[in-house]
Amino acid sequence: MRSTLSTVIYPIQLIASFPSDLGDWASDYFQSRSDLKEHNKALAATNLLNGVRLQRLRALERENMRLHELLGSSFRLPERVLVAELLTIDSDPSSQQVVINKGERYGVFEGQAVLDSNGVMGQVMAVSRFSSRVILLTDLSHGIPVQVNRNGLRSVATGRGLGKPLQLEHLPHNSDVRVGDLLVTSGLGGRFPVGYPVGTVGSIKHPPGKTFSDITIKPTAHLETSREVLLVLPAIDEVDTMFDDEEVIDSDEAAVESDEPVVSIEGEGGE
Amino acid sequence: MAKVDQPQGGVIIVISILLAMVLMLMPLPDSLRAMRPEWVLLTLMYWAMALPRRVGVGYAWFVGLFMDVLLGGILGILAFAYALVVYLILHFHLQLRQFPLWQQALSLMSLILLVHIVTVMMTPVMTEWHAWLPAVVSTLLWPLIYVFLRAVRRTFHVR
Repeated sequence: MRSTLSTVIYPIQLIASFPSDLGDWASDYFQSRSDLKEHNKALAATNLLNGVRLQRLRALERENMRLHELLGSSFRLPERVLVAELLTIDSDPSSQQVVINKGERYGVFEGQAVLDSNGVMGQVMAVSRFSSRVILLTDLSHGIPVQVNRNGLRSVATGRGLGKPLQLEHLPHNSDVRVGDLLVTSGLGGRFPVGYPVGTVGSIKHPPGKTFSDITIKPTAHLETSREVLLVLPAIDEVDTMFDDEEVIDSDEAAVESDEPVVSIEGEGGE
Repeated sequence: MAKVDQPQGGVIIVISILLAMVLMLMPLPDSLRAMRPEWVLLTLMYWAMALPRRVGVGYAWFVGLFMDVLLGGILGILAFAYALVVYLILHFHLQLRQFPLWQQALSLMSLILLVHIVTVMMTPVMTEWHAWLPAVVSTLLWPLIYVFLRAVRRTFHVR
């Protein structure tokens, strides 16, 4: 019902986002050549750095898999992502939601994890044919299972509304959390993939007379400024049947044809 | 005289409501975001008051349902609220039409507040005081919208 209605109203959303898109396009179009060159240089530098890091990551991933095999435990299948763009429209101000321009047609499904280049942004809440609605980490009704990267301490981070930090729930005063600790998704609950950064611990207070400490988390994702988001697809074998062949490309081709909507972020088995 | 009774210009009503929906979704700077007037509700109220036979409770319910989907709220809250408001307007439309504009605006403010009370009661989230700002801004805008839509109605002979 909702998905049908959302499909019907998609044109209205497109029209509403048109003026600001036009503004973006204009400022893109009239950028000066020197600006572009500078930008390009910076990007090339980052790309080089990332490439070096990725080489090491591949080796580490391979090693990790071998160790897991030695232990006889199951290893993680590589995940892949779908790139989508935000529609610039406002929603109900009391909730933290955004609309993205990929829907059922691209295999987006409810509960799918949404990332930006820095960390987890939220999850897909409702899907229609051409668009879907994403609930952000900061929404009051959103919680995400996390663990402290340093020692694996598990907890749940819940949203506290627009512009406010997340809160870590139900950790007693003596738990080992320090300011600056990185929190990553723990993968418990099965919604979010394991190991993506969620935020860093901003402040820890121990209010006297309360059972749990008061820990705030600053999200690593740029929730207010990111325009492009990544949708995490589940492990490869299950997905292949859901897509047309031209939508899904392998990691090797991904390096060449970066315009394609689907790219894989980790090599398939490290080949 | 038979021609006058023929309904006419339904497209104009739909277009005005669609435009109001676009205005509701239009991104605003954060400082103004809390003050966004209830464009759709105002447009709907005007048409219900001017043409009570064309725009009724059912019409309002459907518009509200679309608004629920557009704003991502729980389905049916705005549908119910809009239908309730339009019902009250239909009930009092003869009196409302006689009021001077400022008095009309004040009476409609109570209806806009009613929509807010319904939505606030239905949402589990605690709202802050600026959740009530749109009602005030909408009231201040009512005279403008009234004059504008009346001009539209007369130009396009909507009846």
